[in-house]
Amino acid sequence: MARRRSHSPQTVRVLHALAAEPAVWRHGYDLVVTLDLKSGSLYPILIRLRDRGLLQSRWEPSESGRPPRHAYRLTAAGLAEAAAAPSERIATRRSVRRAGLETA
Amino acid sequence: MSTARVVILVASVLGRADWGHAMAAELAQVPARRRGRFVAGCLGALLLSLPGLAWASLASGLLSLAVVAAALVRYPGLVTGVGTWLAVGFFVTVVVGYVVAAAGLSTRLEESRLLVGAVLAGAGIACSWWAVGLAASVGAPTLASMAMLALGPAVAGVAGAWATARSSWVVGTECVGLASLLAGFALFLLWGGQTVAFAGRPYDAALVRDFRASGAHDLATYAVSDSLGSGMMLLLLVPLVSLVAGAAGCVVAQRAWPATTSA
Repeated sequence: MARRRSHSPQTVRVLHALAAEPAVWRHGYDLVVTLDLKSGSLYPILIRLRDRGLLQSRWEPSESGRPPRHAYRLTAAGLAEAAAAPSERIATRRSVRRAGLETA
Repeated sequence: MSTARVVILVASVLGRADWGHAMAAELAQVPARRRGRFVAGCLGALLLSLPGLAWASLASGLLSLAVVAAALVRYPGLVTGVGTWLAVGFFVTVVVGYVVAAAGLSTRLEESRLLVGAVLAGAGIACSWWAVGLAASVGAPTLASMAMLALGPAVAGVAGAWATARSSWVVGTECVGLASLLAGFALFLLWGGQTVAFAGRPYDAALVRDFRASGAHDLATYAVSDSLGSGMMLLLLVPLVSLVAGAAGCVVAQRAWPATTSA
């Protein structure tokens, strides 16, 4: 059986935030504010999720004079991944344990 | 240049143009006092999202610069005037250009088999040219050793044709471009590393004769200068020749299998 890839606590937060309202398209800066993540943490997660086919994106027209915005929501595979992802607390505990094992 | 354009430019160079536009569009929503941090995060994110091969290219570029720096420190006689620093400046520009191009190409080639193909083709091209060098150092040129000159371009051509048949001629050219750059770096590191480590040895009769005629004081410095110059020429010529041969392979493949390949 293929082993499921474990996610970082931040990735779990992004997955759960997007899965909370699966039909809604979310914007990058909204996720930065809502999840209190830095852009340097959020975008690598979004890029990785899209590269793995877990996230879909589309361009949305903006108000006058502003460039179109990229919007995101989970694909069916992404929703399944979010459902299978552990809670953020468990993901944090796992990543701390992993870091401990790596430094030991 | 506005910060949004900087983000778009960096993203485009790294083969993530769509993400650059996405980040730049979000920038318009960010309050002015937070923009600097947001842009810094975006630039970091673009670098973090680079594939392993892009980091390998960066490491190759840094190692190439280190080889030249080590030669300049170990053989101070290499610096003969402004011309030396101009040559070093040109070399640094070429290396930076190669690293940026290789990073962008490795991001564009998303399919892992194409990336593996580019690495194998790069290794094949480098080995072919190394074999030509070995054959030339053994003795006088023969028909067989002259025929080996076609080996590197042939490998590049086959790689270009393979990648084109697999996808499109654009992808084929990108694949062969990446292979050419990797081959250039591999050859320069082998050649330059060996030059610095062994002081440009072996010293053949022609080199000693040229050294005596040059009026230079130190044979080792003269040999290192001569050999590093050859290495830099390899770094320029091998990717160029390979790219031309590879592009020819792409054209042939596109004409041979027009139904399976597209622009």
